[in-house]
Amino acid sequence: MKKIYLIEDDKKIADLLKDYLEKYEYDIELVQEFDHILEEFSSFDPHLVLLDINLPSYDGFYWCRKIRSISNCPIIFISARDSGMDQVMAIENGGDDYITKPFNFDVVQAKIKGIMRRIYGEYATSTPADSIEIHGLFLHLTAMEVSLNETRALLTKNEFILLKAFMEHLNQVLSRTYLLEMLWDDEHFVDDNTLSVNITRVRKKLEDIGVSQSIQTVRGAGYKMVDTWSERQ
Amino acid sequence: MKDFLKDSIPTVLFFYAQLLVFIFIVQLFYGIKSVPMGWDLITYLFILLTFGLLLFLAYRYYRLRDYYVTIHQDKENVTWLPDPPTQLLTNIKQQHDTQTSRYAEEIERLKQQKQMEFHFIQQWVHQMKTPVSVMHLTLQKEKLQLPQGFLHNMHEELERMQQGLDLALYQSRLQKFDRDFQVQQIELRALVKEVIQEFKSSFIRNQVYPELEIPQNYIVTTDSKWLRFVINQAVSNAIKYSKPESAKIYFRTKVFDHKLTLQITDTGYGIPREDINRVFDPFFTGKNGRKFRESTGMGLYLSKQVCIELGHELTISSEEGKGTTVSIHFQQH
Repeated sequence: MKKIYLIEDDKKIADLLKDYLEKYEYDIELVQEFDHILEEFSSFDPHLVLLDINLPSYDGFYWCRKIRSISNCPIIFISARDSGMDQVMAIENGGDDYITKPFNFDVVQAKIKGIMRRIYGEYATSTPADSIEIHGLFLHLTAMEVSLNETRALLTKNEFILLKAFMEHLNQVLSRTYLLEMLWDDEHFVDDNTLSVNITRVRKKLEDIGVSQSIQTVRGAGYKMVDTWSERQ
Repeated sequence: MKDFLKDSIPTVLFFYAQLLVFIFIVQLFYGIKSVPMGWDLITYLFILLTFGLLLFLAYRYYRLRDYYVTIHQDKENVTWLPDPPTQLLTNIKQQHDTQTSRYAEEIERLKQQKQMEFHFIQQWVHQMKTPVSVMHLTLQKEKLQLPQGFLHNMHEELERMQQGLDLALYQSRLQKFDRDFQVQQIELRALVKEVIQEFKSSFIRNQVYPELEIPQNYIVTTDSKWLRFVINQAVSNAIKYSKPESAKIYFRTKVFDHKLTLQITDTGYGIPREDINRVFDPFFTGKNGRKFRESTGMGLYLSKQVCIELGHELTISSEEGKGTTVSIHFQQH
């Protein structure tokens, strides 16, 4: 398990980040004493450091230089300061990346993952399962396929994202906005109609492999996936 | 020299007037004795006294030259005056000096106060960003558990708060623009895409979708942070003033006469004709501002100021009921 040292003086933000990142199987150590960051760093020996700039006593730049003098450990700055100067300072003082508050969990997680992969190798991070399984229904993450009893269907990117969301939140209602936000990427700004079309396609693919009526429309709220395939087996 | 001559005109006139009166009286006096003064004597008198006058003026000019020259050369900011040759000027200089130093002190005091304010606002905004971050993260964490309407409202209010904070931050930074400014070559499409991503949930919540029609590899020379601020304002307005049935916000570029123009067009309520010329005025909110409560009237004003500093041109055109286009014109080289 990869260890992350979180240096953030706002207790709530620190706790929220810790909670979130622990879900991704990182071992998070929060800073205990702001005067002894270097000692804590050495004793914890993390794989990555998340570092705020505005800290009690010395600022993040100072601690970054200190850590750099003893370690090459990747350091990501997290700060409310968003001026170009601060970002330049962060990198000049030895930071690897910079995230401005308020941030999205996903962004933090993606950046951490990216840096971990670059520094500790592609598969060094606790290898995530290659598939999600619910009662015999498999979603193959790298192949982007869904299968039940050896019948397989290939998914497009959007279908894959949707189905993954549904399978991760079985029996939970996912709102249209939530799903839309998942589908948006850099290039494609998905609208409401596209979402409906994609939902229809996912249903069709599921039917192709023998799963019917699994994704249900909840009027005025969104969609949810229920297990309709296991009882029949 | 010219000023000195001008100042000397009354003296010269007075001098010659006196001379004429003198000659006249002498003439009268000799007239009674019937031996008038000859022209040669008068000419002699004239030349002699003129010579005396010239000597006087020359001396005077020599004493006053410093004043005339210094003030003439340095009209803009006379903070120092040369040693005064006359009592009158001594007094004036004294008064001038005390006044100048009093102003200097005052300016220094105001500068410090301004500096304090600047730091306070910067500090304060960053402090306020922390609670916003916490709320933002908490909402993200509870995303699936919370009722959708509640989530929407909270997100909207948080975004509004964040935008208000940004506005304050940029407004205070604008005073120090020259020190907080970094010119770079920016890929326009990439920057616009980033802004759109930032507004992702706002777009989705308001059910209006961006349409990106910017070719790749359009490079503009600008400061990315400030330009992003301007685009942010435009996008935020475009979303805010979109009608419920508006479907799209268009991001387009036009090249015309060596100028690259970025247009951000919505199909929303538009700006009433009587308001359009005043949208860049500070604190102007207009009809729409009263209808939509979140207007501060500062967004477009600041955008305009930023564009002036960046050397871009910002224009806005609108048709009431049909939509608004904000255009940023970049000078291409």
